[in-house]
Order: sequence, then structure tokens, then C-alpha cells
Amino acid sequence: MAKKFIRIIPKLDIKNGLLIKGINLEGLRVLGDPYKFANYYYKNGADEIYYVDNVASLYGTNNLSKFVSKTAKNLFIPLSVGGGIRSIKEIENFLKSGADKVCVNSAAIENINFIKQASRIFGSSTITCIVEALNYDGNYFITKENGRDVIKINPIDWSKRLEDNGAGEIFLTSVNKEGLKKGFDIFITKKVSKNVRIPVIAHGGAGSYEDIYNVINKTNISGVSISGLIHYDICSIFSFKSPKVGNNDFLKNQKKIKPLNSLIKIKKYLSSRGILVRT
Amino acid sequence: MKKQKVGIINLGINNLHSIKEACNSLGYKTSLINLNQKKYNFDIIILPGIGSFKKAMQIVKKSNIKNEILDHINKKNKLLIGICLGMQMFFSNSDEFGYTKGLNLIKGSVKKFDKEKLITPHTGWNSIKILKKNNFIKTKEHKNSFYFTHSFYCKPESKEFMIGETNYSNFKFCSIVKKDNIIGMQFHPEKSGSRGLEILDNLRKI
Repeated sequence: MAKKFIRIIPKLDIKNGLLIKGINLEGLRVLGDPYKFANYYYKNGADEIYYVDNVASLYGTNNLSKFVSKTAKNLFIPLSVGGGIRSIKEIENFLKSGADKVCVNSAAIENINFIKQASRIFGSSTITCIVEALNYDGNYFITKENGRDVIKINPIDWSKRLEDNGAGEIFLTSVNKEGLKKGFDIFITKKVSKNVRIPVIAHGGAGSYEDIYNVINKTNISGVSISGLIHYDICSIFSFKSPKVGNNDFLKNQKKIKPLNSLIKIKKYLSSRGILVRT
Repeated sequence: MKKQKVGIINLGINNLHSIKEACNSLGYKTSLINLNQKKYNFDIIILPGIGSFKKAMQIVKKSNIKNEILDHINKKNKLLIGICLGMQMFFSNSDEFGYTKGLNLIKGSVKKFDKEKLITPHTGWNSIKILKKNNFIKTKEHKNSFYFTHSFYCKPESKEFMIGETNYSNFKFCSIVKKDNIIGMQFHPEKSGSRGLEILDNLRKI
């Protein structure tokens, strides 16, 4: 079999214009200016950038458009955008603002035809579907609103249905592993990625280079999305004034450190272990 | 004289922002071309595109775009560039959502990847093997330098026009085509970092 190429995709969670990071999709901390992070990652070999408005889905608002156009102006790699997208018009607006792909979760759960319609208009490769997988006592369910609402559907079946309805990619998040930095949910990632014939991106749990290698090696994914692993290390190199809003203790109390986990290092490591990455 | 003025065709279904910003960042004078615009006056016309072949061709048929494009390529020192779906539209026909006729500027057809064998869409970074000497993309092989996202590929009738070829999980397809002053690229130069910008920059010298 031909060696598979793997994309490394930094995920940037945004709330009120600030980059945040949570644990299990909750307990959010303020980290800095998303635009600066996106630009830094672009220059350091990111294969794609993923912007999510974390509260958009809950409150039905989406302030992301202005960040998208500002970011897209200098970002010559693909930019994916997600968070509360519910209409064809919203997709169109994001694409016009400079997004290349949109990521949808809640709207697909509420009405699967939305995916069919969107992929017909914009092409499958523009429509990524987020699947939030929750392991509850050994049984798997999907969730929406960042893990808040549990839906009694199995993520493996759900991913297949999304594929059949025109989704161009599955962004698979493990709700249990997200933010803990203790490794990916290999079991569900393996099941989902072997059950569909569209690209699957694994997300949630990257704590070390080896975690990333393991999820690539043991499953059939096309990419890995990381956030905490790289965000925490670089937020100290930007001179960013602590905002007055949000949980900013982390920013106020951080020590100046040199970045440890750069994308370049991650790619070098993966490459040394025989994984095909863009360098 | 170096080419300066770039016109990007706005079919209303595309992300035009990226290609426009990329051209602007390289110093081109870039403007969007609306559907009913007449008498194009550009050095380079770009037909960009993500989206569906059928929908895009329906829009083209209802407008004056085809005639304007033909006028443009018949003039001296002009270039026509197709990106992704734009490249596919240069061909005679496509299988997407049933048989659809294309612009027929280059003989050949647009086919869907075999989903049984290949993860489709082909989304990600890949290499291009250069088959023919040209003056916009030089080195023999660019390792994983170009961003692709597509479910269909172009199959030109004649190998004569194939400039670049890409290998996706052991399946080879035409990733750059060139016939006279018409160039098609299956990848997105505006999304391929510095290597992609390099190609767009070189267009002014052709």
C-alpha cells in the first residue's frame, strides 16, 4: 500500500475574539489573539488552520466572519471554519470571507438534508462534518453543543450516514479525551476511519509526539488536529496584554518560556518514524 | 511587457477571497469579473473554483463568459488560468451528477475517483512530477508542496498537453495542463504556501 500523507491541523477555539482552550470542551482559559497564532502556525508548517467559535452554536451567533477575512488575507493555506453554522447563507458568507471549508455538527444532527443540500451547492470537499464521540460506560454516543447534548446515535453509524449524504470529511473529536493530553481515543478513531471512504481527522487528546504517532499508526486517518499541545507553549512568546474579560489567570501567571512543541518538531518526529508529512 | 492586470471570474459560488489576496500580495492589479461584464481587458483571466461542475456550467451558459474567454485567448500575450474546478471546466465533459458538457477548450473528460480504491475527496498536500519543460514551475518534483481538494480529475485525450502529473495512493492523474495560452491546475496555488505563490508570480513572465 502507498504511504499515506498526514495533515497536521492546529485548531483555534475562539470566544469573543480571543483564543481560548478548554478541557473536555469546557472550563475555558484565555490564551491570546487568534490571528497571531494562526499566522505563526502558517509560517511554521501548519497544513491547514481550523477556527471554531466555541459559543456560537449555543447562542446562535457567529462573530467569526471578521476574523476569517482578517486571517485569510495573509494565510495562503486552507482555512476551515466552524461553530453554529446552520444555513446555506452562513456557509456562503464564510466562503466569501475567505474560508475554504466549513465544519458542521448541530445542524447536521437536526437535519441531515442540510449536508446533502450544502454539498450539492458548494461541493463535498467544502463540507466537513464534526462528529463528537462520547464514551459513556463503554457505549459510544454522539453529542452536540460541545458535548452538552448527548444523542443516542453511534458515531460509527453516524459518520457513515454523513458520508452517504455528501460530507467531504469527518472531524472526529473525542469528548472524553479532549484537553487531557493523555492520548487519543484510538478505538473509536480506528472504527470510524475504517468505516468511511472520506478523510477522517482525529482530534482530542494529543499530549505527546508519540500520541500523535500512535493515532496515525493504528488507524486510517488522513490528519490530526492539535491545540493545547502547541498553544500553551507559544502563548508566552507573543506580547499579549491580558484581557479584562474571561478566565485570564493563566496568561497573567505564566512564566516566559521558549516554545517546546513547535509544529516543525512534531513533523520532524513523525517523519523520523516513517510518516509522510509536508516539511 | 510583463503581465499586470488580473481578472477573476466571479460565478457567485466560489471562494474568491483567497485567490484575489494571493494575486494582490504579489503585486498584480486584481479585479473581479461579474457575469454580465463585457469587453474584458486583462492580461490574465483566472477561472477559479470549488463547487459543482454542473452548477458552474449552468451559470456560464446563461452568461456571456464563454464568448469573452474565447476573445481573450485569441488575443496576443494573454493567459487563461483554471484552478481546480476551473481547470476541469476547460475540458469537453464531466461525469459529475450525470453527463455535463464543459467549455471544450481542451479535448478530454473529467472523471470521478474510484471510491472503492481511493479515499475521496483527495484532500491534502501532494507532489507534482513535471513531465514537460515550462517556465512557471521548474524543478522536476515538488515534494508535498501543493494543496489539493477534489473528487474528480481531468483526463486529457492527448498526453501532449500534460505538464504535471500527481500520484494519489498509486493512482496517477493530470495535475497541470497547458495548451497554448491556457493553463489548468488541479491544486490550489493560492493555498499552497510559498511554493504556490511562486507559481502565481511566474505567470507574469509567460
